[in-house]
Amino acid sequence: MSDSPFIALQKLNSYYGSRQILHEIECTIPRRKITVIMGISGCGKSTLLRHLIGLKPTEAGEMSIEGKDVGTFDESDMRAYRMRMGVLFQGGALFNSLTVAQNVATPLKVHTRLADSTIAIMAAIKLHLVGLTGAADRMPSQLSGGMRKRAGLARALAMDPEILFVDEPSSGLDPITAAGLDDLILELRETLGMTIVVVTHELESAFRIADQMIVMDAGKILVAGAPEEIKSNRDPRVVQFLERRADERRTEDESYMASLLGGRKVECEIEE
Amino acid sequence: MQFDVQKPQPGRLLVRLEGVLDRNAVPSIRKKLLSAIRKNVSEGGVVSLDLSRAPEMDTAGVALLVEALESVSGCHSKLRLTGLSEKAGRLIRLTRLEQVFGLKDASQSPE
Amino acid sequence: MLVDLIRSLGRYGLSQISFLGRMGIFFYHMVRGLARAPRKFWPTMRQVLFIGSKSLFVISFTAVFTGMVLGLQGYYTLSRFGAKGMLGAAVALSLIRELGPALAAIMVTGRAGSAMCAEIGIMRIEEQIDALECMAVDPHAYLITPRLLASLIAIPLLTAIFDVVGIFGGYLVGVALLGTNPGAFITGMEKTVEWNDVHMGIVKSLIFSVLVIWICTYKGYFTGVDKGYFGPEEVSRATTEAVVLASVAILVSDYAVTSIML
Ligand SMILES: Nc1ncnc2c1ncn2[C@@H]1O[C@H](COP(=O)(O)OP(=O)(O)OP(=O)(O)O)[C@@H](O)[C@H]1O
Ligand SMILES: [Mg+2]
Repeated sequence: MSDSPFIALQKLNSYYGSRQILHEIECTIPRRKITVIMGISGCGKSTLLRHLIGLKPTEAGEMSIEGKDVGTFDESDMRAYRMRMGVLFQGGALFNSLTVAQNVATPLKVHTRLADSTIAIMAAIKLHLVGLTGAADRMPSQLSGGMRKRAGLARALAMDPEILFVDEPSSGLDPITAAGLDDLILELRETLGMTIVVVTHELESAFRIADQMIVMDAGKILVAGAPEEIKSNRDPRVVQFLERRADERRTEDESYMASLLGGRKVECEIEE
Repeated sequence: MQFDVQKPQPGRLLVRLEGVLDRNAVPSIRKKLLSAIRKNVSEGGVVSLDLSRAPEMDTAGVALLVEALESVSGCHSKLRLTGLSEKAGRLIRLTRLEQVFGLKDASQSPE
Repeated sequence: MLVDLIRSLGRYGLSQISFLGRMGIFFYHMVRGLARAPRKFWPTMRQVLFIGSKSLFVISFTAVFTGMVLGLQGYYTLSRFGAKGMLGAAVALSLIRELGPALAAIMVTGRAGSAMCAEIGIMRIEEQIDALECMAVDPHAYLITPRLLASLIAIPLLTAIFDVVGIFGGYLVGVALLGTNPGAFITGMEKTVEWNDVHMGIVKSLIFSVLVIWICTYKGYFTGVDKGYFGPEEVSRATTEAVVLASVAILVSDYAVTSIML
């Protein structure tokens, strides 16, 4: 049982309206491991995450959680799955009418009959974990971007989840705090055996924490595997990503030309 | 989740916890446990919490221990955790409370 | 040409049907929220405070002037038939049966309903509602149901305040300004207003409370969902739509309820 993957995706295609965002995604999220999803901005990482947390219905393709097809989930199955997970959204998604501590306490308040003082201690513990002890009584609008992210992470951890999804935890963070978060993520896997899915752009931190990596490009999975396999991969796009080289300047990009010239054919010469 | 309270000798209080100390169990015993401690503890005494039969806990359990510690030290007494499981010890370290509970390094559990 | 017309008509019809269907499902979820966590007492009280504090001043203000206009108009109309003594009854009846519930609900829509719509709309575009779902918290039970309960408490009370302040406004104009006999004003009112009239006012204000919250929170909850686009301008659009739709719904249902209850 512990070897079977937590989540498995097969031939997932995903659309916003008529625009296809994900193409034939096949991947698994192994149990008690850290899976890192990387890829260029706009390639569909957050969209993939929305599928994994069950917010976007899988219209085409199959997703199974612990071997059970999500398509057959009813409301209470979904609820049971969500009771076991914690999610940090890319924008933090803090409730802006509540203080930071109240944000962290919200899931505990709703789902448990714990006394307020116990909940307050638990919230303080989680805030301390992400280094936000001093900000407990501030409102989300009074936080910096990186602090908001960390508060969101504390809230995601409030219920001691079995599976944790984090969308770019360290964007907007200084290297020291970001390294602290990497340590925390590793520690959570080691001490609590959490299954963790991290979306990140930070190559260094990705290689530090990953047990498994998924590199995406334009809605497809380029490669997936252990970090060493990714490092030795020869796919030009992967190499380019890992070497942090910018795209070559494409002078004949058709959509660019179309946007400038409205698709008209033009001819032009320069005489010396 | 249940617990029993003994007074082996004056100035000492032994509380034995049994079961899973998680967020579902804590609400049912919290009040009773804290008031039992507050009622029986004597100034300058020692309260031992025996956790050998409660090896499983989550953050709610840790929070309960913190509350117990608060009420014990409110009476100028000492709290002593015994029989702390390795798993619980790891959780306490994860929550950065090892100093508070006087946990030594990773291998040994406190007497 | 003709095909295009038919197609767009069809599309419009379909979108309206799906709108109604989703409203219905939303209503079901809102009511079902009563049976679900979290507990509603304090959130409801906070919303009562919110609705009350937002609307009390506007409602008293509009009520005084509504009552004064009624007093003025009523005085001149009634004096043509030599029935000035009925002024108190006329003012009270129109307020209690009609204007009190409708205007109070419209004022609450403008003040509190729009604010609720915007607040929930912002929660939608900032993924806060998604976050609630991911915590296995039913967003309807958490966000909508306490507001429904609160408006069922607050709007009838505000309507009562509207009625009383309005009658005072009518008294001011009728008696103090135009010199109707104060005794006649009061006893005329006492004799004509029956429990039936008050009953109608209460039923109306309860129906309007449900309508206001249902429409305003619905519009906020589904901000940008149809377009799949979650920008800030969607919030302002949703808020405007909510206020307009809720006000129209109040007036239309006012007619419907009156015709049924008469
Ligand atoms: N609500 C939406 N409606 C339509 N298109 C969307 C929507 N959300 C995202 N997209 C599109 O889907 C694609 C993938 O978006 P996604 O947010 O998954 O990217 P991402 O990989 O997370 O990028 P980033 O690293 O910048 O966060 C983008 O091209 C984006 O324009
Ligand atoms: Mg993203």
